[in-house]
Amino acid sequence: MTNREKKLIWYSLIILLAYLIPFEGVPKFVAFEQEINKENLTLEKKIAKLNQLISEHAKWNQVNLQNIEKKKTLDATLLSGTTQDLIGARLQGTLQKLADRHNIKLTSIALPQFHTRQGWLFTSQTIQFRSSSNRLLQFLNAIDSNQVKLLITEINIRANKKTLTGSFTVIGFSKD
Amino acid sequence: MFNKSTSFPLYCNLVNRVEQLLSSESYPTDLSLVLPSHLFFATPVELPRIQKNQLQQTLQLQQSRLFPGINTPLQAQVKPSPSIDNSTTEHTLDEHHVLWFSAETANKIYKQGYKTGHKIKLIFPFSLLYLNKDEPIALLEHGDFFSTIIIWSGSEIVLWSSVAQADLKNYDFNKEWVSLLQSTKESYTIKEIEEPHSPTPLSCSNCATVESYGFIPPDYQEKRKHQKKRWMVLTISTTALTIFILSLYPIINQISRQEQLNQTYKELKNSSLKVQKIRENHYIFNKQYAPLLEIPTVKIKELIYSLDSIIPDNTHLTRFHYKHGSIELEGQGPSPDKLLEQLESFPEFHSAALTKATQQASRTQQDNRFGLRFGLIKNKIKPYMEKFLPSTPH
Repeated sequence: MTNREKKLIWYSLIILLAYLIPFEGVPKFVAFEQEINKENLTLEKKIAKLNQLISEHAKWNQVNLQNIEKKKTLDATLLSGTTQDLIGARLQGTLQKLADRHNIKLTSIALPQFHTRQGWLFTSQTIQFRSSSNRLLQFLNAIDSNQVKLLITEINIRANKKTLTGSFTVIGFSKD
Repeated sequence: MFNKSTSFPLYCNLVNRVEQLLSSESYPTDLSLVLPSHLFFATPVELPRIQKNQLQQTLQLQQSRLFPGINTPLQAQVKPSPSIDNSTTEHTLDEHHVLWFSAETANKIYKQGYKTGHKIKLIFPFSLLYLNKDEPIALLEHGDFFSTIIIWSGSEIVLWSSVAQADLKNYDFNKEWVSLLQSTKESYTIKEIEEPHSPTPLSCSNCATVESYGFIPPDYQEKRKHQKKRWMVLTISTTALTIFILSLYPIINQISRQEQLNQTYKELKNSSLKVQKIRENHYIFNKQYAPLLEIPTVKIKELIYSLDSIIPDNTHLTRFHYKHGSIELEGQGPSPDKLLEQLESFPEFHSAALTKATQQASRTQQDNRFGLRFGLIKNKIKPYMEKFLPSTPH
């Protein structure tokens, strides 16, 4: 290889480096550094969160205990039953019992409607009644404070002299 | 000493003539050759000096016998003659004396000799490389008793002279030089005589005498250039490498920090597994039991009591319909408009409106039959129903 060829190779190498370093090398290098910085920041945040979580160990233990208790309580408010018919019958029974207790006459009990969502079975029951206003209020109060959780979604009351007639719809909850 | 090669006739010619001249019996014993700078060369024979009274003779000799082809060997021939005693001649006998070539000629001769296999001892004045071009005169030290003075113009040496150091200190001598140089209209300075500096040691085997004389071989400049180039490349490479390493430092630092953080994260994750599990269970519980936990508390009884407080005594309701937080009323009373206003102004209700045209009651002409509708302000049951029971009509 002659000196001229060597020189040419050197010059081409220098030109190549003069292009590669500022236009390829440096931007990639900077991007790589920024990426690492970003990852480090993410890691730092995660570490801070974990540290906080560890410091809240006692609090979370207490929450866990509360949840266990709450779960027991909530499970007790569910309608029990292995099939939809049984659950529907149990809801009707509950309403009948409450009505009897407050001297409410149930004139008609419709077939329960079932809706399943997110692992839950929602049983909707519509009942027609006849009652006095005082008894009806007590009955509604009893539904609210009943051990088995019932949600009143609709009430329709008509006043006929001193007697109230109408219907109401309640929803009972159970696990699907 | 020199091979009389035909490859470079000028060189051979010079050698022949000098050797002839110096071996001649008629040759003056105290003679120095003062030559134009482009025609000097080396000789192992002691260089005699010129006596003042022999100056003219020397010049004639130079012109007629030694270098007949050179017409104007010198422009300024004034040569002070150092006092010669036995001690000075004795010490110079073993020395290699030099006749000067210009650098270009010397290089040419050296290369030619090298090509033909002759190793020629050609040496340059060491200080020549460091000449300050702003000063046309310099003192080259190469002996204890004699010094060389050169005068140059541009890069060309126009005068060379060997002068006894004693004379350099002499006032009259200096004065003579000054007047000479002024006559040539050259700016100049005569440097103070300094202690001889130690020259740079060279690796060339042919330069054994360089150190003692302060001379360097002809390829020194080339070697020096090469060396300078090498140094430059080395310096640039080192700088580039240093910059590269320095620029890598922050990223290396970041990478090591990342490793540390990863390690810490893993440790913390392991130690927080139990808490994480509890937290996850909490979220699962909340999600799983959401239909029960999010049940809106609509107290129908309170709602009826609120209505009872709003509705005046002379107004009575015939129908009450509640569905998903929306209430419809039907009834009979003297001023349904007032009732509507009262319902609208009650803080828990909103959007009160008549649902049908008000009709006069048949029995009591003072009463009007009305139909009203309004909503609960904090109606949470509607969103609840939409979320969990979207299939049921709302």
